[in-house]
Amino acid sequence: MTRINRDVIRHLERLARIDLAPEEVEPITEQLNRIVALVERLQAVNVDGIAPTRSMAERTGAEGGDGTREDVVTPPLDRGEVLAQAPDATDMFFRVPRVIARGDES
Amino acid sequence: MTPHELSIAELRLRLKSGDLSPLEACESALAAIDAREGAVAAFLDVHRDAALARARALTASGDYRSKPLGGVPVAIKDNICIAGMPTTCASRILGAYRPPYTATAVTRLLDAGAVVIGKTNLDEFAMGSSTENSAFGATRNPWDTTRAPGGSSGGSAAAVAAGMAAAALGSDTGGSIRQPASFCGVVGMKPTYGRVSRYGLVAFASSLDQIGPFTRSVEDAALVLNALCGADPRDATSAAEPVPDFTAGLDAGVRGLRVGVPWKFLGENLDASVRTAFEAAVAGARREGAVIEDIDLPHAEHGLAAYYIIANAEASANLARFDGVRYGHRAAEARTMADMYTHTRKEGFGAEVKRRILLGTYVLSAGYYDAYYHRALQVRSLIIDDFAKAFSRCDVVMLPTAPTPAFRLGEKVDDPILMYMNDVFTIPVNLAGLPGISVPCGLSPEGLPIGAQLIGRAFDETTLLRAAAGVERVADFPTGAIAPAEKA
Repeated sequence: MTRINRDVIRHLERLARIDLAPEEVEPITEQLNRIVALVERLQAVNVDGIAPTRSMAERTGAEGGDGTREDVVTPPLDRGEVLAQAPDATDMFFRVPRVIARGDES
Repeated sequence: MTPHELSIAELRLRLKSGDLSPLEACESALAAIDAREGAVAAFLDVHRDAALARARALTASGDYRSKPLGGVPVAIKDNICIAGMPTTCASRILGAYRPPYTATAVTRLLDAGAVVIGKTNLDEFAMGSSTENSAFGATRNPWDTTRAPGGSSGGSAAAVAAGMAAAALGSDTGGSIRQPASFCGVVGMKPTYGRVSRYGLVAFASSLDQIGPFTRSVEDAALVLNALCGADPRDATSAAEPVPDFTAGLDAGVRGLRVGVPWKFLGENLDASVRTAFEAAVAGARREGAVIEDIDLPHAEHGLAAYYIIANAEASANLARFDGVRYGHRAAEARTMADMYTHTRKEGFGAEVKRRILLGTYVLSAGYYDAYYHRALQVRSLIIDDFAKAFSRCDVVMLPTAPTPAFRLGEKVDDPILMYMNDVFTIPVNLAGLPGISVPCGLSPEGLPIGAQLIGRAFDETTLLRAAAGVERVADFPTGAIAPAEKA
């Protein structure tokens, strides 16, 4: 049973903002179908009335108490150091390409 | 014995007595790296100068004598940040990234006096079970360099196994500490979810990820855990549980403990050498005075499927941050923002990471969310309940760590499902948030290490380590051994 075809892959590429190289499409489609077949086995498990576990913090009590802390200002990361890691930045901002292509402007 | 062969406990005795200096301990570890790194390739970056400078400073000040890990050389998996040092996650997408902050787990090791000697190799973003998915080449198993060290923390496991570090940090999302520990003949521990702060760990699957230690003995794991644990205001999932001295009570071993073994779950897909070593370890525990109980974890077999939905759903969200804007690689000549995202991610991520992001996107997408993701969260609840029932009858659960000893490099890398089967015994532990530890329990006929896994109640690492120390004592494995260097 093939659930994931090229159209689905194209949709997923768009959602995940990943372009596959042409030679990647076929093997990834085949592998995803095999992985989906594996996870399909869960359909056979009786989960009637079972609450989902959404967060482990609930189960382990990891967030201890009410999970909040004092609202105290602490020193942030140094702006210069952070911006120095960016592929492109001014001394104040991250710089990115145009959000809307020139041809798209009306 | 030269210093790099010593356990942390032995190193500390010699350091405290003045018989050995931090500088000598550091030089010995670096010499081991010089001797074996060419064959093993455990490291992505050796911090030679920084390590020597710190070891010299510790030696000069003398205060290492009173610190629990004073002068102990440690290695750090390269998905854990150290300020100013390259952090790659073994991915091209991080480019020349140098984080402006240090992970809390590393800060705690440094506060305890440890010397960081370098960053170790991993499967890209910790996604894999062999360390072959690294963008910078595979790490090789020090016991047999034609074989994989396991993964994803294969570099950390190999470094400790080859005597290049007394301890190393790894991260474990579905078995990424315990499985490579089993393959490399070292002790690897995943603490309870919430035990160790994840501030500064690059996130893979946030409801599963946990940082933990590799060492060459259970006592050493307890010593490192003493330094690592505790609440951290920078990680809201870190637990405000008291941190006892985990070394206290190790001598009691497994005597009097009830050890549950889910024989049915072991199934047929177990390598004969693993079954033999595991059964011998169970028999050894019984001889040491443990009460062995036959238990059932009826939903554990579904852990693998639930894991690949939950972990990849979380990964697809977590890895959205690698978009070429704030750090790392950015595709050249993208005309628009949207093109920049897609081209950057196309160029930066390897095949396994792309596969997992797309799968995670699929199971969260409209029309599939209930059938896959919601159902996986329900199965997770069933697995949690299975363990809760088991722990009403026993103190620890015992399983093999991995179904096989180390496989050959290249043997499984092209078949994701075959690779995923490696983690069948470790994944349920992450899904339930419990602490687990792999202890070497034997050697296969080819001389490859085999690990036994012990699983404890949440936040009861004390009992877990006690049981592990007992299994270590009776194991048919030379505790503390360095992997023998390559035969010519």
